[in-house]
Amino acid sequence: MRHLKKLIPLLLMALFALPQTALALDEAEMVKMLETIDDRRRNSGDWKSLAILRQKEKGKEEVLYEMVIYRRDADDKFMALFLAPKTDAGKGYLRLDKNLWFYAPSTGKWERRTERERIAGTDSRRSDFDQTKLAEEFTPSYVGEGKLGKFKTHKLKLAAKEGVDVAFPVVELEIDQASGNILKTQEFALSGRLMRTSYYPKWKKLFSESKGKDVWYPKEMRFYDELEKGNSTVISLKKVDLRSLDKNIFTKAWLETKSR
Amino acid sequence: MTGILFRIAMRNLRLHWVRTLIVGLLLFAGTFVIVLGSGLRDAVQDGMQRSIIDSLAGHVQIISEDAEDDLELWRSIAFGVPELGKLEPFGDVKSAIEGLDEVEAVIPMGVNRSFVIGKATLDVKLGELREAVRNKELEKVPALRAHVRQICQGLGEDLDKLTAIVVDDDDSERQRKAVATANSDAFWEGFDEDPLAALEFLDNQVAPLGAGSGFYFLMYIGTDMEAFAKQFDLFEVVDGQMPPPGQRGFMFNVHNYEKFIKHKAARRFDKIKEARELEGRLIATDEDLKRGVERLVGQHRIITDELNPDQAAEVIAELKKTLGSDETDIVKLLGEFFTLTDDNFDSRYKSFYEIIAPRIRLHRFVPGDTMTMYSQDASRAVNVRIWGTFRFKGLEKATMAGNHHLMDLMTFREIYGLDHGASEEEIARLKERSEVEVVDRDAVEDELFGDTADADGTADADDGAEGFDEFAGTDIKGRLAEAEARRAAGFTQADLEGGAAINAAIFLKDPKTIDEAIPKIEAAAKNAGFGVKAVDWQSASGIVGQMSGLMDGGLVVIIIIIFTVAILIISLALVMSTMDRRQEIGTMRAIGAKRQFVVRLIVLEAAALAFIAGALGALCGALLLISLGESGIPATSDIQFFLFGGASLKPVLVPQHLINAFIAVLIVSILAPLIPAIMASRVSPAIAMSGAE
Repeated sequence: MRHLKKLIPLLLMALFALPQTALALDEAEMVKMLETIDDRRRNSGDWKSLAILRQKEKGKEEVLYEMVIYRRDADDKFMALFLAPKTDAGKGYLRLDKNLWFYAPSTGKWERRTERERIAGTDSRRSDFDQTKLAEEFTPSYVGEGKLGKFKTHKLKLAAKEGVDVAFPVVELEIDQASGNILKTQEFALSGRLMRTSYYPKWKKLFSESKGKDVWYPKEMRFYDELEKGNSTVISLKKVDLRSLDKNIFTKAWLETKSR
Repeated sequence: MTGILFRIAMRNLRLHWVRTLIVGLLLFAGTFVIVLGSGLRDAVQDGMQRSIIDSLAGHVQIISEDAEDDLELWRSIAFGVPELGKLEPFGDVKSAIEGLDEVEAVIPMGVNRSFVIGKATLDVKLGELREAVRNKELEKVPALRAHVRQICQGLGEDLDKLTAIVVDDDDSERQRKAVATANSDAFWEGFDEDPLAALEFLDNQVAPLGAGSGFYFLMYIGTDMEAFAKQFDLFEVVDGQMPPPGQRGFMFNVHNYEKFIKHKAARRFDKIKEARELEGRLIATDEDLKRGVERLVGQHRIITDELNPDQAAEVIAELKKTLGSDETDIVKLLGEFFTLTDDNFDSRYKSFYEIIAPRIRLHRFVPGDTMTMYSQDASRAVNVRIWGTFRFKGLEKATMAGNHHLMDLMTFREIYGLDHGASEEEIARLKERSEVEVVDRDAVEDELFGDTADADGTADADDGAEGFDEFAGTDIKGRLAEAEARRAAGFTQADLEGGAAINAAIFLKDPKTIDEAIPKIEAAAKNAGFGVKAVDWQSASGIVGQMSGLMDGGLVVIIIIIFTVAILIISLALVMSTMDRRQEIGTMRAIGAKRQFVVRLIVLEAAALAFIAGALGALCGALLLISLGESGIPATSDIQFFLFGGASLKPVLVPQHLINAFIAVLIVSILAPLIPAIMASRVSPAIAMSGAE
């Protein structure tokens, strides 16, 4: 009887552990899942999209921006140019190699920035608008199954690989089991402090001739600042254009001449 | 009868001179300490008030009643700007409050923190080269090219040294190739063919390998600078000038300017000089100074990068002469020059400022420069001209008075985000086009992914094949010219007062009316349609004000303790002395003295002694205070400069303190012996004379 008493908790533990073990993804499966996400978002040719950013800060009036994003994924080139409102038009970000540059048209100056830079002071970062490199930049571990509203999800915890400059070193993803799309991310500082929660409720796909298949993108992104509670940003990608861009578009000279 | 009593009392004091001397010294010391302590406390209180009121706070500060946070002028805003609302239009608030009889002036303010980037020299030179190429200022190009090439050569040498001790990887291989390209003749020969492409290469492949750029975080007050300079007594221009009326601009606080904006090598020299001269520390024995010298020796690059080839040749020639060396390598010469000892420090310090300082940028920003400042979240940037440096008189060495710089209110509004400038139409148009609504944080998961949510997990096909022209109907040209024109146009007083301020400093005609003035200020603003909270200087200064309160409280406690101990000792001494005289009292009673006579005699003796010793104590305390008031007690630490309101504490003699101390000692001297005297006088003469207990 005494042995049976000892066995009961062990049996119960095993019972609860079973479904988890059965559904847990191994590292290869997780990497595969991330590679699929990265591959869907990458275009082998160029990318141009028009985004509207709505920034709500606690106690302040809402601020909106219109921004055009240019990408050349094969060369890791990225550029963003603000079109509206007029006070911010001409501002831009340019990523070349590992350098992220910021241009302020009111000062005519270029400055280096880091990947942690808040785009125009919103809760978004450069990486939110670019292709993703989750499989290349992070090491995943499986957290468990989850449920987000009506969606069954896989929860993955990603840790940035050494020497990789990313906006947040630790990221938790909730990936829709059915579609493989990311629905929610939570981003953490190295200390473990939650910095930002993001939601991706709507996804779109567009056929890319250069890639020969669809390019996927989140039509809507919602970022909630977890440090400054009450601050949030909503981004909607209004238009996407996958046709080739001018060859020399990704230069400081091109961006600054637009507003000079 | 009184005359006899007085004569006997005086005789007794003389006769028992040892007792008289001891009790007298105690009374003297007590009065002296009370007079001195009260004077010093007043001086420190005045010093702190002066430091706070006459530098930043004024007598009263006002903020909007909608403010969610408290105003704290000295609070660090590194982790966020407090929510203080705004006073808008400031001019109307000002008019309402200046209409009060008690009010002398209302100065608009706002505290903010921004950053500027002190780029690495290579970034600076590449920026200048880009500007010269873009503006077709071809005469500037050769010198800048030569300078950039020289820095690249230095980078190549550093990389070679690094390669000798660090294992190679893909990155270092790529870096070596990039630097080799930048150092090749072919690269520079081809530079003129496509200078912008060459600059992109240098910007992105070579410059990141150089010394890192530095961020300077600047805390400043946005204000009506003319009114500020006029109203705050301690304000004084050190270098340059105030922005002319109606002009935008920035003034550096000289304390912070010398501490953070100055060239690293010069700062290190200054620090060692100060440590040697003011604190008597030696390089030979002080570990901190030794480390400073070691760092200097290793930091030749911060000098060589700044020298163009001609300047480098001049420095080499001068250093050879100074050091008596035949060496021609500037790195080795600088290494030897920076090897500082207590013996050579003074001459090297002089040589540094004669040979090197004139050829480098001694301060990262100087009056006349235009500096690009970024809001803390980096979303807003402004160019602002530096007009000069200033200090708060006497507080140059006090960090607490050295952190706030000054900026004109118009530029402040731009960078603070008070004047976003987007029209309502623009915002409405963008809102409509965004087609998404902001969802409350708590309900977001249900709204987006719940059973009734639109999301179905699939990715719909986009029909954007036709593409779009992002510039159709959009004109974003001429932004820099617009901004420059706006800056150049300046502003009128109406512009200044027509916009918002975050808070305001109010000066009263009579500071003593502060308690009555505060409710009147709030009422006057309310009558004009503005809800404001008014607080006194101590509250507005936050932690500094609390510190002032604590210091004052601490001083009061110390004075009370000293006073109580002095009084207790005096009382005990008088009680003991009276008890000792039981036999004498018995004898007096035996020869016919009445009880009342005995008691009056003892009290008179004590009062006479207290009068003489107390007067002497008060006089000596007063003389010392006067002397200290003339010579001053020098401040020896950062905090003391702020507490003293300057380089020294100069107490002032307040007659009331003399009277208070004198009366207190006199009362105690009379009361303390009274009870033992009465008790002694009640003892039977026979018992008292027998010495029985």
